[in-house]
Amino acid sequence: MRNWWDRLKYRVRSLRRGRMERDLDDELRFHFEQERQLRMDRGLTVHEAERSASRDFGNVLHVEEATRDMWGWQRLERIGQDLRYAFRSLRRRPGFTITAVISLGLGIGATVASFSMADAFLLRPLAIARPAEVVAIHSAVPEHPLENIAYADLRDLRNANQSFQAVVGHTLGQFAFAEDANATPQIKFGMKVTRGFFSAMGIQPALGRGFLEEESSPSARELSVVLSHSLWQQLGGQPSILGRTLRLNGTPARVVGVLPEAFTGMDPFITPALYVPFEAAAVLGSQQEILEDRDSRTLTLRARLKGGVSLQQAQQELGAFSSMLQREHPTAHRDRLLQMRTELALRIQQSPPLALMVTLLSVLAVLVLLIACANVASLLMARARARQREIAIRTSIGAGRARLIQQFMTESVVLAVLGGVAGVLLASGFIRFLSSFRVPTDTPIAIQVQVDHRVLLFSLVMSVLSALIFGVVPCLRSVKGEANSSLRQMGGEPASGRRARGGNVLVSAQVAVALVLLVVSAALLDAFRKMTLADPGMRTDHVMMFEFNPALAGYTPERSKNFFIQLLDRTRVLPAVQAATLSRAIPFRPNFTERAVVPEGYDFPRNQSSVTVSLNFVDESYFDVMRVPLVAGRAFSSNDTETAAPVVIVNQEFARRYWNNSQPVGRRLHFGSQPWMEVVGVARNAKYSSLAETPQPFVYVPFRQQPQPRMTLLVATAGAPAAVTNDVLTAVRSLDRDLSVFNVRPLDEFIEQGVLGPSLTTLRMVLAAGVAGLMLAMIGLYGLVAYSVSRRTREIGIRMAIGANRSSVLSMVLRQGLGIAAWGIFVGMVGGVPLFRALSGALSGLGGLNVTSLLAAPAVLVIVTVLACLAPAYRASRIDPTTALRSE
Amino acid sequence: MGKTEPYKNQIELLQGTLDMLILRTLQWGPEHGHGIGQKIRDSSGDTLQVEHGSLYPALHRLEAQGWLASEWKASESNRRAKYYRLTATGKKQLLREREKWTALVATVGRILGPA
Repeated sequence: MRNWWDRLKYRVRSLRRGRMERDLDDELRFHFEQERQLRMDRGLTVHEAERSASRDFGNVLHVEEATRDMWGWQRLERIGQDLRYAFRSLRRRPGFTITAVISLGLGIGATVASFSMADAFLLRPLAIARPAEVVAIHSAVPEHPLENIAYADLRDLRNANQSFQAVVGHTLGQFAFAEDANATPQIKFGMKVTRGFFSAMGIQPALGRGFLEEESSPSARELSVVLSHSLWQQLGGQPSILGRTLRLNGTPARVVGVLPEAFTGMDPFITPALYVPFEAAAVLGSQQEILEDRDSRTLTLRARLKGGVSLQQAQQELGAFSSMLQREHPTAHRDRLLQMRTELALRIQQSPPLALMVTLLSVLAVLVLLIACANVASLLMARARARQREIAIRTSIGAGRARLIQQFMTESVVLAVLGGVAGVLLASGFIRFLSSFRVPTDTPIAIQVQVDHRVLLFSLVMSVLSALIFGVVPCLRSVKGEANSSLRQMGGEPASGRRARGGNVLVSAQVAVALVLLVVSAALLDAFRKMTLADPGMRTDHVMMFEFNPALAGYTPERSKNFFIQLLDRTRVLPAVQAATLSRAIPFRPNFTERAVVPEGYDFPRNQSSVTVSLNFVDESYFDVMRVPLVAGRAFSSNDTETAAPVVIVNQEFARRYWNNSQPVGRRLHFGSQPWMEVVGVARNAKYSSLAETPQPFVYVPFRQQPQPRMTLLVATAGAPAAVTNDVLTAVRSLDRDLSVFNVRPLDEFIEQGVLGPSLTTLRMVLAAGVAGLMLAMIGLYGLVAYSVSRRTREIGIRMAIGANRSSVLSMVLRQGLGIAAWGIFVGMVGGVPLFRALSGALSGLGGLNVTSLLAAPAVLVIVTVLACLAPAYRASRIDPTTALRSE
Repeated sequence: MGKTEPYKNQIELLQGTLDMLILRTLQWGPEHGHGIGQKIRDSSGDTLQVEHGSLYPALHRLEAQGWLASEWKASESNRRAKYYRLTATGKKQLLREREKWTALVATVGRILGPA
């Protein structure tokens, strides 16, 4: 205790450095005077006494240094010195510093960006209490390893388990949401949660409360709803929201709570707008049986482990429980097992392509970082040679090797931190650009890729790591080996074989990668250009879309059909409307119905009895309104009713593929087990799922003969499509006040955002990668050539002395750079062939990979190489032979 | 006249040993750096002469560790000098060092065997 106080006092005192120094001075002087006095007492004269004493006293500086060491501030001082020195020397060479920082910025930026994505998709834990204790439980059968669970099973599990503190379930649903009885309902995504969900997950509502027992029960007579934070903000963000009654699917729902902003749902993608109790099925309008039927598997389960229970123990109990279920309910649970997963495992399994993509990106990013570090290392080495003199002087006046190493590593760390800052800026710009891309749907897909504190911490770690990677070798090299001979012979040895070759290979590899990226970029650019000019095969301008799902409001198929027919009639008489039609599917959205189709008379290959073809269900005016011409036969007419003979229309590709274009009109086909349908017309090919696709077979079915629960109303207008919106909505409300409409937007806007948008984003990403790859390759080339020139200074001096002129030196250096680049281009072209072929296949609908891309990329690389080598070549040509020969 | 310098039998002192000797010396009261060096030399019969190059760093280190405290006072010759004294923890440390030293001597003695 006392000791601590004394030490503290000492520490405080030693803060006043000046005072300590003077005191030490006085102390040593006192000692000296005592020694002198002693000698004088023994009989020496003053002069002799002083000389003797000072000889014995020795090196005062040394004593002072040693004593100062004891004060403990040396280390901090040294670090401060090193930092100042590092900044100074970096400022003196702005070209080098900027190049290195850009290189590092690209590398670190790539890793930061990919980590942010990995975080957003895979790594970030759920915003619940102690997420490590919570597991997800699904059921698995051999064909489907990830299926939901029935409510009755959840109830049994909850009552009869030892491993879990709590077991709850949730499922997503669509709700027709309206603020009051008079507003037009909108579709919102909500989550139905079982009893005790919020408390089990540890989610504390920001306002109000979760659901009470009686609200989460089948006997609930009123519907309670908990709002998400964002929905609450949309509704005004006032505390008075509590107790207010809203309408869900036409039913009144009372707001009992609002969730905190931090909680955005139980998966990284979809943010539910509201939460309702699952058990209140009756009030919600879903079937009561859902609570008892073991075949109604709708719930995803989450369970919180009890303290001290391991994952294996819990899984074992789950296995035993599965066996019990199999015994007691053999039909529902045949071959069915309950399995639990951690959140990370779940996310990976739910979307393996996504997990794969994220992993690939991360690996790529690490590669980019390593390349950037290699570049900076070679830049540093090029510079190290120029500092030999400085190092030599410092060593000769006593700087220890450790001290020099510390100095150089400090420089590296400063560079790395600067690079890290640049990288974070780059990454956040990139991320912000990605987030600005909006998916044009009403589904609240909200992936939050952002630069938060986890990401910043990660980038700091990466910066320090990369400093270690790129800084150590040049640092050791410059301090150790070459410093020894530095004072004697400088700039002598030619590039030693093995080391130089390693550098060459690395730079060639960078050039190869840059080449592949450039080819892909050019090809995609061209493809995109063609895509914007591509003809989708149907009308896209001046069309407004309105999507309906009457099944949500409980309509039967018959009632839906009548509703749609009436809607068409009412819409067609509206003033601004040119024409209107119905279609089940919207082009370029992945929601086509696919059926197993059997074309009559088609010779199926072995093991196949049908072909899978995409379908659309359309009204008879579809072909006219959407300008899809018929090349043979007729379109649907009002005679093709449900009582008439079943008919279909196929497209040209279908006719060609299955009937070889021989009289397709009049032939028949059928779906699965349904009766034969006659082909009455052949429509021209159009693009259905992608603008880049090759011609696909397609079948149209009249919607009157096969009514669908979901249809889209397509309204063709003379003027701006959006102008008809209100009139159409009024028409809808006149037919049914509570029916919701969604995806209301102009068709061309939808196509632009939904189709071109993703392609544009991909294009931008690839272009960015291409530019980054090019820059890295350029920096790598520059570093390598600069280093090589600095090593060969003496040789170049000799050459010039015996008659080589400036331009031949220039061309010599340029040739070296071009040689390395040539290797890289060759490897890139050859190695990239599989990728190019795959790309050509993917773009086949747009004409494949064009030759221009293949030629332009190497040309660009050659130009870039020349640019990169220009500066070192110029410096080489300006070497003064006399200076070079003498030594640097 | 020139007296010859006394023979300097420089036994290399381990750092820990020097610490202990300093602490021991200060048991008899506060002293300045030069005086400490003299006392160690005297009480060893002139065999141990502590280099001031080791003495002062040791003194400052001991002070940094809280076993010594210092203050500036007038010396015998009425000059300003920095006097060191043992702190309470310093006294405890001295006892510990003594025990360590005794144990060390005994162990080494056992290893070397009877002389």
